[in-house]
Amino acid sequence: MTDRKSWLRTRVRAGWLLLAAGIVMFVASVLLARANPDYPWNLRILGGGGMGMGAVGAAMVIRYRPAINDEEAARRLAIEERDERGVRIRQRAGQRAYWVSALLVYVGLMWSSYGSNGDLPALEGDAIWYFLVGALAIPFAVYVGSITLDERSS
Amino acid sequence: MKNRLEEHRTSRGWTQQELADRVEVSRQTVISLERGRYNPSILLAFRLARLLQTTIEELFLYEEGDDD
Repeated sequence: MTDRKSWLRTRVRAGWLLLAAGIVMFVASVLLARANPDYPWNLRILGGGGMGMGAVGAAMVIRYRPAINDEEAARRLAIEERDERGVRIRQRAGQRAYWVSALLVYVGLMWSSYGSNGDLPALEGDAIWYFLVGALAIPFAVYVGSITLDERSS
Repeated sequence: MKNRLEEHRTSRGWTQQELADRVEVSRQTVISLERGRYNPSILLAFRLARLLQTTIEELFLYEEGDDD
């Protein structure tokens, strides 16, 4: 088996695994909610996570599986994903997103500490939700922005 | 880093896409290499040098200040 084929098979296997795990999580959330409607925490988080994982897994299977028996498609996919300049740009973007994410978590931690002392308004309810959305969305925006900038400049 | 990639490529009558296909990188990578905006890994430099039947030193011109 060529290196390219074995790489593709690994990606397809990972896709199936994610899809199966996503289905299990989703079904578990539905069953748990039905078995005990007064469950102490929101089971939609489990169901939503399962749907997300399943979607990523399905996308991977759809993207990589047809290329296993199509040499030209496999070659194009491999170049698209393993092209060293592209990989380097994505790594740099990931590094930048990581540091932004670490900074946001640090700010959240500090805010939470000062908030509990009364030195700053406490992070509660909606404020926490918006902060967490920001902590998720801002690093993602940095990742995408960094890739766009580096694609133009390098 | 300066290089003679374009010179070697055109002397063989290859397009950027053909060179990219032969060394299994994207066409954008070949463009960036030729413009000197991207420095290749040692493995890609060897692949290019072998394909173009030359040496890395002949293909890529290292100068003081390239590290900056």
